[in-house]
Amino acid sequence: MTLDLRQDRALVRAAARSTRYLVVRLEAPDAPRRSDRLPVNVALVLDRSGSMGGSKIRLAKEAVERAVATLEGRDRFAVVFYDDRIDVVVPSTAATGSARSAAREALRAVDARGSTNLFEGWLRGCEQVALHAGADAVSRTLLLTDGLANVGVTDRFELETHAGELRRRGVATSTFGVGHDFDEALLEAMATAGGGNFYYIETATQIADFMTSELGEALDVVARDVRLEVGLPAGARLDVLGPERVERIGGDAWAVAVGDLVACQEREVVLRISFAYGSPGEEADVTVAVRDRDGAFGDGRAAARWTYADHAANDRQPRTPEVDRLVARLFAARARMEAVSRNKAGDFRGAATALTGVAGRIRGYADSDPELLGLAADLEDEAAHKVSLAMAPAMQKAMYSNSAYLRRMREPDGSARRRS
Amino acid sequence: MPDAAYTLAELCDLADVTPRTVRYYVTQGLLRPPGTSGPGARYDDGHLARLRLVRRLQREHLPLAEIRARLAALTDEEAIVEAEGPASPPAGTALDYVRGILASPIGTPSRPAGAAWPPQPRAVDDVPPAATLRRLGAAFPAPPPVPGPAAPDRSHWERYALAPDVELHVRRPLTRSQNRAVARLLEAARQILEEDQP
Repeated sequence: MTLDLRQDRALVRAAARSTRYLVVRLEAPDAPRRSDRLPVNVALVLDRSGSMGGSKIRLAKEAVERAVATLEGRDRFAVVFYDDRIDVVVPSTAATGSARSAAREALRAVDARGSTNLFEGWLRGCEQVALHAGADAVSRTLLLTDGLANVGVTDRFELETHAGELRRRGVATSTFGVGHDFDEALLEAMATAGGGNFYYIETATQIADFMTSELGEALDVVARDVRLEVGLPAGARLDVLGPERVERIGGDAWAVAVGDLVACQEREVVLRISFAYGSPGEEADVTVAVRDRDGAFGDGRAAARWTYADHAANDRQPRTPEVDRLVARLFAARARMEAVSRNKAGDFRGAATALTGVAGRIRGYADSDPELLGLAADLEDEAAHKVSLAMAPAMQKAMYSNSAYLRRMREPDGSARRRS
Repeated sequence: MPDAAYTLAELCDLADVTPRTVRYYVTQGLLRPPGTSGPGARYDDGHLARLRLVRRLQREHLPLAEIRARLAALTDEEAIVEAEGPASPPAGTALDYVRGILASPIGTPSRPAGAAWPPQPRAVDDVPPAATLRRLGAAFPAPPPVPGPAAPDRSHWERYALAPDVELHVRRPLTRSQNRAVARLLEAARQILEEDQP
């Protein structure tokens, strides 16, 4: 495993607060022998509301079969289908050969009907996982929908809160949105709070690929609950640019929750540090320790150092282009997600402003870096031609999900980025 | 003790709000005024923590008066712990939690023990659909919970999202003829909204 740090600059201002960025790069270890992997305990929760009719429901059922076929006897799975009624089609069971064929049998009877009680369907799935949740497993609920929650609790904030609370109690949630009618902001927020992954599935024929890929990642987890412990100089503050959760543990000690990592996964976390005033020449050290529930990162530690200097020296100092580019991409991703949400709500001007605002800030420090200038130009182009008009749903979903993947440092198809 | 001192610009940068928002919160009594006014005004970690809490409670759609009351009950130190301190260890297991929610009436914002302060929702966009819901809140006074304890009937509200900004709320159960009427209404509304797509 690897832990290394990359800082954007080396100096901070003596006579003002300065914002500086530190990229923490993590690389998870190789997979252990197959027999040593952590068992998984999952629930597959699928929408069978009327809109899933026809081939979609058939494809979803095939996806369940394919996904379940990747499990072994020491893993557990449950299958829940929901519309306004919730059917626990397969209560949590050890994934033996006979259980898998019984599941195939049970799936036959499922067809599309009714409206969408996403909330209770999801909770019933979590209940099945929770029935057998143990400290030694990767416990996760996989929630698939093609529409808007319209029965039961539908409020994003409440669903997000429950997903976060369940995550704290050991059950994660990953979400899959199929087609063009689901609420990407809801599903992304549930996955973020739930410590799982979010996927946009453009066409129903891809359901099985995505579901199998996510289950494959659950089977490949080597480090659960990865967490950075960050020590800051006095008076400094910590924030992150990604979706990770930050807590102040006490005084100048902070923690950043990164979540589970799979074998060989590469994951950057971008820390934004606001430094207090200091005297020129004084040094300000930031320490980063990485810990996880499985000890995969041992007791990895690293440190970065900034030096206080006057304004002139700060203005002259060289910058690290790779850090600037990553920071810019993350700001752009956040702005694009906001732009899509505003566009959906009919606030076209606000959508465009979200993008041009970030483009302007990027130009402010781009100098002659072609990548940064290109990114700013892309954002301006999207502001003028994409988000300032009603966007087609497919375009909204694509822009939103690509940005969500980038913020989580995942591949463009949503899967974990791994060392090749 | 809150000791760090921030200028208005620094405070806004750290809390991701505009200066106008800060001034508005001060006039609304949500934030204590800075020691001095004007460009020399300095804010501290207490201000920052309270700003973050206001944003969080707004996302919960709490009325301003309620937010003010909650903040007034906290010292600066308590506000800092609430805003950025580590979440207290969860009460109960995942199974207790799920069963607690499933046992409460659906549609009532249920908040089981230990969840009063959600663990730091990361605001990507505080705009829609939260803003949409707030707007709806104005059109439909109380969001859809079953009215008061004096209503032991088993009615519940259902929401139909007709378009990203438009929802229809229906209290079930309905009579058959009402059901048919609602179905026609939904169909007609969807058609109208589709036609109106620019």
